[in-house]
Amino acid sequence: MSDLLMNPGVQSSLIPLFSALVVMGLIRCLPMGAHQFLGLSVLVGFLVASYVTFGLPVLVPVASGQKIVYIAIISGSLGLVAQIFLRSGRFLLLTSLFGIILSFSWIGWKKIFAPVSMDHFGALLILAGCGMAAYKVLSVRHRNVVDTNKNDDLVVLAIVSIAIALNAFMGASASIAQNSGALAASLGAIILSNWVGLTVQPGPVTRFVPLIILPALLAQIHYFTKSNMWPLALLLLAFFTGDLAHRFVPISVQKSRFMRPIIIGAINTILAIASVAMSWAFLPVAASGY
Amino acid sequence: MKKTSLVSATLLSIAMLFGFTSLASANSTYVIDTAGVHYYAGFQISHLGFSTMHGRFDTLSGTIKYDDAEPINSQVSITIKASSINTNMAKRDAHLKSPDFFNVEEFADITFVSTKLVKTGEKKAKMTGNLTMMGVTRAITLDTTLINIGANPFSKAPTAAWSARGKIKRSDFGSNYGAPAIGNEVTLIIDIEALKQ
Repeated sequence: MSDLLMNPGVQSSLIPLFSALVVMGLIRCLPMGAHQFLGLSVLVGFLVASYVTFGLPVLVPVASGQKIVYIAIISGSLGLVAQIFLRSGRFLLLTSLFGIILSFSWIGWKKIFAPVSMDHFGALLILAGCGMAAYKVLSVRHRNVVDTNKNDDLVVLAIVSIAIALNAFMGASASIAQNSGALAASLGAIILSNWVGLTVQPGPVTRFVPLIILPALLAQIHYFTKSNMWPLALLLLAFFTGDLAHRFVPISVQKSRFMRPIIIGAINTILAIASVAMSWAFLPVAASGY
Repeated sequence: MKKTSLVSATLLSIAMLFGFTSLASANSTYVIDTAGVHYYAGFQISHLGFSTMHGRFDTLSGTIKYDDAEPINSQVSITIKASSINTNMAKRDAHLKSPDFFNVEEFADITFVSTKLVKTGEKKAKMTGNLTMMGVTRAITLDTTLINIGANPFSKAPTAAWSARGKIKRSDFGSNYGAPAIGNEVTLIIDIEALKQ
């Protein structure tokens, strides 16, 4: 059993997935009012994976990797506050943008204050992409009416997380890869639930956790690994694939609860493969993972 | 003419003052012989409970303020470039440089500054000092040995050599990834030859 828990693949996939499913099950046992907090399962899944992989968090985080767990907690807290007190779309967007800038800057502050280089350009590109993603995920105006379960964004965030995990792995960092994988798996619990018909309407917590953790992971990859910024930038196009599906896929197929996540997932998988292939092409052999 | 003499006298006084100070001090400064690469900073760690993996850092620098009269009062300061890690396998080195382990882009240097020496034998001492690694500073103690001090037989340059051995726990420095499969205890092996300045 302990061997299984020590397996990096299990730590970043099955453990967060099952933890999130268990939390969802427990919340479903509570009165209906509590169901708005089903999104907490994403946070708990991620935190359990982090504990199994890295142990208890250090009290005073110094290294970027040690800050991720705190960023996850901050993102969940911001989401909870937004869920309870602030329902306005504009305020959600502003709060998430604040979270995105905070998490990216906290990870990369040493490099941000370094002399101006291409790293700064890459950072701006990534931040702009994350901001755009937040706009797409949180803005009511961009909500696709066919996406009745509001599941598209979660599928996109999960596939982007998996692609980031692969990019991180190519950049020789298994810990970033595991964190990204754990985020995808935690989101997977809600996607799976929606897929089988136990609908979870993704609230601010569900969206804030990935939207704020991903910039931190991207900052880690961008600043502290040999990965190239362009494959990461390519991934941000994923947030527009819902529109693509809306235009080119027959409406009857789009409305299918079973087919829609598969279509969105398939389109994003193509992007993810392109990003990873690009990353592989850019990396010097000596800098890549095992 | 008088003005020139006054300036000369002042300069002479300053020079004498510095000369005197130098003579009065028992400290000699030795600098690690980086040009000749007469140093080794290595480590050993358990690999999945099977073999012991050996690695080293190829770039370091440092000084030893050696107290000729009371060697126990000497001070050591060493800086290691974390990115110079070498385990004889490029891909493993890339992994060790990543945020999983040494995170060399975020923490470029590993430093050691001694704070106390306690004599344990004729040429042996326990050296306590602050090791800063991955942004965390912890006091560690190394067993040190003065190997030799004197003139280099070829260059005749005053030279000294020391060795240091010790163990640390990488988790003390916030490095938990892969533990306990990849060992927590790390053995340090440092050998240096330094030239008197």
